[in-house]
Amino acid sequence: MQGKMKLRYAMVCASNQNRSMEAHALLQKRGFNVSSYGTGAHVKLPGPSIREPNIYKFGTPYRSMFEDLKRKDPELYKRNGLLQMLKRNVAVKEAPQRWQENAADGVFDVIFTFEARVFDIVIEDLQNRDLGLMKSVLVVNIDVKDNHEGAAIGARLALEFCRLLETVDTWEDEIDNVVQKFEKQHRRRPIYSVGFY
Amino acid sequence: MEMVGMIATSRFREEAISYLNDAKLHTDTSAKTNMLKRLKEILLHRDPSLLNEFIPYLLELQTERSAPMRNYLVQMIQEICLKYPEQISKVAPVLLTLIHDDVPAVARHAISTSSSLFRITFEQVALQGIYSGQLDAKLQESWEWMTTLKDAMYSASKEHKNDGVRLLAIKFIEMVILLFTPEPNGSTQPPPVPQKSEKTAFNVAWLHGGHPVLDVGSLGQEASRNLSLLLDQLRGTEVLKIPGPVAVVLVNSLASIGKQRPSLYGRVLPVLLGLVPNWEVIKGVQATSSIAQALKNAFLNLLKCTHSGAGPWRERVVSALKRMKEGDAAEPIVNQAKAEKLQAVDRARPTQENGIMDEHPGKRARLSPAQADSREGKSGCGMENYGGSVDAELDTDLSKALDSIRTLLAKGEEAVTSVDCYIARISAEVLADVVIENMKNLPHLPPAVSPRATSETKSGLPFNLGVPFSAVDTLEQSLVSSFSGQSFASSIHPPELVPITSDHRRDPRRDPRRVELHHMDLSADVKLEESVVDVPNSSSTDTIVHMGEESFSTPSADEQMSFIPGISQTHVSKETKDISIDGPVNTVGMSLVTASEAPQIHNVAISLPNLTGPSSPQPISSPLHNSVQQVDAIDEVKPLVSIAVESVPSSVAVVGLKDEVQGVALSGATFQCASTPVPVVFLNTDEQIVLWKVLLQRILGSHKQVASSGGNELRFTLLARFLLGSDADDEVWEILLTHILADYQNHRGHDLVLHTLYHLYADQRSPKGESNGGALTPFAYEKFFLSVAEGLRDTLPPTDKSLSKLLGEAPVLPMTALELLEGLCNPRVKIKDGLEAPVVERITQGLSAVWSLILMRPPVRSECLHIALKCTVHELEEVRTKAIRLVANKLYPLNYISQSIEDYAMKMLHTVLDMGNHDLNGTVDSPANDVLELQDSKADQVTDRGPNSRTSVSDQYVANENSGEEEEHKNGKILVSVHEAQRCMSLYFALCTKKHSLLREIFDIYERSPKAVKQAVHKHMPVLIRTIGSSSLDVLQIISNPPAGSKNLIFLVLHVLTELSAPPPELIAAVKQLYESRIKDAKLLVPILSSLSKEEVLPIFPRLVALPAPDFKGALDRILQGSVHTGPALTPAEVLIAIHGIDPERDHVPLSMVKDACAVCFQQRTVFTQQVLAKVLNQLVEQTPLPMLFMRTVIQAVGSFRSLVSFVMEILSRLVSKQIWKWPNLWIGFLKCAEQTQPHSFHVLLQLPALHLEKALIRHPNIRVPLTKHASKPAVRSTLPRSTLLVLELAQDVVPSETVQSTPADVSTPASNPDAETQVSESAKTGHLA
Repeated sequence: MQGKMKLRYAMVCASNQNRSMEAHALLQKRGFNVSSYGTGAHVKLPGPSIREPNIYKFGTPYRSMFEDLKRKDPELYKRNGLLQMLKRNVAVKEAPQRWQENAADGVFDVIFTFEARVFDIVIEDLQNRDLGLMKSVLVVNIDVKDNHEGAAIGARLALEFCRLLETVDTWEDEIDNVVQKFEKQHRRRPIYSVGFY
Repeated sequence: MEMVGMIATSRFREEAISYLNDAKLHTDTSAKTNMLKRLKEILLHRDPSLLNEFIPYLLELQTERSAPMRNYLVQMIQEICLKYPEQISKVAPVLLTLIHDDVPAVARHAISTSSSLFRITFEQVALQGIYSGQLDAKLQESWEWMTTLKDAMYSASKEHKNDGVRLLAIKFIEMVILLFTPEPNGSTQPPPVPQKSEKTAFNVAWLHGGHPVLDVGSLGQEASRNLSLLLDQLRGTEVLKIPGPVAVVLVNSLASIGKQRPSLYGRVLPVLLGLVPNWEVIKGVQATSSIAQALKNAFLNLLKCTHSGAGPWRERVVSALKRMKEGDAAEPIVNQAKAEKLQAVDRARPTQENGIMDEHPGKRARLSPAQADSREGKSGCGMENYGGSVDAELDTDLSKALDSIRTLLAKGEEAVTSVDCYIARISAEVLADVVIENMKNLPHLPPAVSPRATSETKSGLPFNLGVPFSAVDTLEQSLVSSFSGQSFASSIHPPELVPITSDHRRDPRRDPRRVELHHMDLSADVKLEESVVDVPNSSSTDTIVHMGEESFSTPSADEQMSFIPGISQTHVSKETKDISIDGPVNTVGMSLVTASEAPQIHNVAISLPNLTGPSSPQPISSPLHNSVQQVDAIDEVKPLVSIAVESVPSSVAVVGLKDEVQGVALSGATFQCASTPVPVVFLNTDEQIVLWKVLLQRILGSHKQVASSGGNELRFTLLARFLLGSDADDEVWEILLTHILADYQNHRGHDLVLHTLYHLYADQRSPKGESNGGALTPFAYEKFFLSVAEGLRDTLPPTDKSLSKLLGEAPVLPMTALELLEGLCNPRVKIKDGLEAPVVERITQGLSAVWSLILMRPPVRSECLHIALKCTVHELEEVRTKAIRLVANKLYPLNYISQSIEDYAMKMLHTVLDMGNHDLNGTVDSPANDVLELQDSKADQVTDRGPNSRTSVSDQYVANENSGEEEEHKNGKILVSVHEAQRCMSLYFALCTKKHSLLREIFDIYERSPKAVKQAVHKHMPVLIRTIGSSSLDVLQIISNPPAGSKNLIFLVLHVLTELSAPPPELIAAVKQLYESRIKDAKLLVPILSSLSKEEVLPIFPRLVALPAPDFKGALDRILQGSVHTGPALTPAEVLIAIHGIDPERDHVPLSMVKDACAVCFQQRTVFTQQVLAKVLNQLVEQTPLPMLFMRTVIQAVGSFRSLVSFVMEILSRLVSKQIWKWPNLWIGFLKCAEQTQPHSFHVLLQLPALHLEKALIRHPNIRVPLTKHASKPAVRSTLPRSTLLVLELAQDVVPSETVQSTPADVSTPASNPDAETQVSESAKTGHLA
């Protein structure tokens, strides 16, 4: 399956927990070559109250977060779905990765973000890297809410968009059509930009 | 050590060669790239010394058909050059070609590679120049190539049809701009020592110390031009026309440039801000919503800039950002309010917001109504907001602008910067008006001008203009430089600028045009104008076009006129040096127009004044200067000269425009220019033609500038029209041709030729074309086409694809072009010993052209197919192979021609049957005839030739082949025939591999074929069958039911099929069926023996033994070899036993053949080892009766393996105990064996009963003595019976009866015949027993 896909994808959200991971899991399942990242300074998960979030460093394994939360308040975190989410994440990869710190992961063809702020950060980061490889990269943003439903919607939209991208020869020539088609089908208008490695 | 190195090198070299060849030969792309990967590994890491040798070969790969290969080639080039930059100059031409590759991925890769190579080379050049003060030749060469590449990319950034390619080209330009402009935060001095490390980023400011090649100034200028190139694409609503990604990248790139280069900040921002008024439109269009986002990011980014130049822009950026967040509906009102608010805030620049606002309405109005419509259709909203009453707006703008400048200037010195900023921000349109207004205020005498400015002006201008112009120029210059946002702090603003009257604002610009028009035939002008204007509107970037517009605008085209000057600012700045500007004053123009609508009149209007920069008028004015003496008058008499030539049919008119400049220059602010008489110069025909040619050469010579500004497309169209309109003779075409062929790639020859061809074609087609001045003969198209094609053939290497591309894309193919192609494919060579390499490559070129024509041009398909087919029976094998490969692999699979190919191949196949049977009479040397025939029928029906005519032609081919072969018959009959047969049949064989059902035909004709043909078939068949394989149903059918007389061929086929792998069950079944039903020849079974089981082999074994020795040997091998799965059918021992089991009588096998079979076995000592033999003998000796050949085998066994002797002795003893003497034949063998194995056999002999011992001794008397000696040994003697001793005469005891009885018989036997012996011994035995 993977052999058929031409492009390499990155899914990016703030904490590399919910939206990007949902999309990562889904696309991976569908045979895409995909990675995921977060752009925040830390990994933030909701806590008992809005002022007491759980904060982790990027690179902390999902497994230890899972155990940490389970230890703290299994009831609460089961109820708000965090434990299930972390469990899903464990199955996908080891630990959340920060976009800015993982330039070594190499060149992506398409970067998908789920929040305008993240989109801007990614673009700026790409500009700052300036490797001079002259390799273009498509950065696409679709805004979705950072909750479980939103993530599920976002992942589906990302999948659909990536599928459309796979159908064209070169996205550089077709991106406007792809966006148009996508908008027609899903009533969402993705914003895109073009960066360079 | 050195030796070792050399050996390694040669080994690597061989490896590399084989990889290269494999890469070329493989048909599978991934295998090809794999080979290249290995090759690269060797060249880069193992033995880089091979690079020099291999690079040329690598570069040949650029013509590979498969895109991944070309792509990988680029990859290799990149890796090689990054490691060994000295190779750059070698590979650059290939990159240049590949940038224009049809496959976007390849072009993209080529561009990104070129970019990185460019950067490396540039930095190397810079650093080497800085440190050593000079450049080595190699580097210089590389740099020159890089410059060429750079220019190619400039044009790609604007013109390339593929967006992905454009993105990269734009990115490249961004890189160049950044490279060529100093980094403000970097060190301005190069590090004291050349550093290897990349830590310190290169800064162009280092070059200030001087450099042999690079000049900071011109680099800066180039960067500035490039920036314009990028900016122009975003001005006004241009952004709506370009594809989304391109726009996004443009915005991003510009933002990044602005951020990193404060000096350019002021140029970038106005354009980006200029997009804001279109915000709603942009946002509304779906595809461009991303541009809006990019724009927002760009602004945010630019806001972060901290350098001083950014300061003044801050507020505007902030307000733009605010505005972008406004809702859709309230937009116009809010804008108004915003603007007002802003004005209140920033009192120093009260009208700037308007200035910005107005820039766009102004531009918008330039669109023709049709375009505006289509745009509106696209954007779907709000266009009317911008398209309003332009003139009114302009008027108010102007007065506002003037007011504000006035106010600012009134503040005195300290306001100068504010004025700069203001001027930089108002629209070009308004600025132009401001300048015109102020013209009137110029002093009669020029103010003191800095010498620098004057000299620049002068050097740049073609003519020495009058002094007053310097003043104007200087003024202009100052305005421009401030407009373009460069820091400008001089005080050239003349104080006279301030008082203003506005009434005559428009006159200066309009009057000259009116004047001009009065001088010309009005009706013609209108047409001219139409013919020009419809083109430029579509892409209004070309300077020439703008000029055309200006010069020929009709009075009624008010709107158009009023906006031209404002727009053209950018274009002129691209082309000219620093001083170039055009405000409203600019009317330098050249317009080359072909008036196809206006019969009999060709006008070239050239206006030659005045203020503007030198570059654009230069090409025109200079030749004039040379060829038309009158022009000299310009220098002396007036600053302005007009030459007008009214045209009679086919004339050249040079029309000088009366320009406002005069008024300005004379500076009295009187505007009576319209009444000034204009001198008219008539040129005679010769002069006109001379002028034409010079013009053309000039235009062609300026290709580089046009290309780098992205105006190529338009240029081609115009050139083509221009040429078409020329009534000049063939020389014009030759000039064009020379230009094109001089550098086909870089001169964009293909596009130019195509444009020209299409125009020629259209002209030829249109009924009006005939009357078009008579300049074009009906054959002009054909002639031009052919000369280009021939030129391409002769100047470009055979690997170049340009010719093929030309043939494929031309509007129509003339017959002569096909002849040319035919000539390429079927060179008339009579040399038998092969062709020179270039000719062969030409054939490849021709064939690939034929191929693409067949694919792309159905009308000439059958003709092209014929060229290819004819090639497949070419007398030279090399040619033939190529053609057959093409026909069989590429063409045959196309279903619309496969039948024709098949028919032709079949026909050729059948011709071989007649070989040697036909008479010599009808022989004509007909290839030439053939072409004629083809031509004739073509002439009748150029585009549509049915299959019938095709067949008739192929009939003729057949006739030719026969006749050609006839001659050769006289020479060496058989040899030539085989060759001939191959020639005719190769194609058919090749088709068989594609369509197996064709195979049967070969078997069908086999029996009837002459010997030579059979030979040829035998030669071909193995290859063919190997390719088809045994799984083909058609093959199996033929095998199970072959046509009569094809037995030998079947044998061959079977042999080939089973040669390498075990035959599949289907094949075995087919063979068995055939064996049982039709051909009772065991030879048939030989090939499949290895797959048969023991039970199957044994019954047919006697038949196999009956085969001739070589065949039996083959059979034996297969039996012993067996199949991989089941193992051998028989073991060697079983084989021998089976041979011994054959009964000559029962099995109808002659005994001699059985013996031969044994001999064959014994020859294979490695298979039939002594162990095998021992085993066999052990088993055979147990058989009763003993096999007939048993003793023979024993003797042979012991003969072959001396070490078997003791074992054989045991056998012999067992035979003794079996009373071997009872089988006379064996008995003889027994004795012979005993004799041969003495003395080992002595103890066996001594075991014989005395009677038989005696017979033995009689038969072989020579053993008596040694035997007796052996027996007389006491140990032996004691064991022997007395009778034996008696026989040996070792005992004296007389037993007369026995001796007497036996002796006579014994004596008599040898004397009589050997047969008698048996009887005797028989009788003796009976006697004895009795």
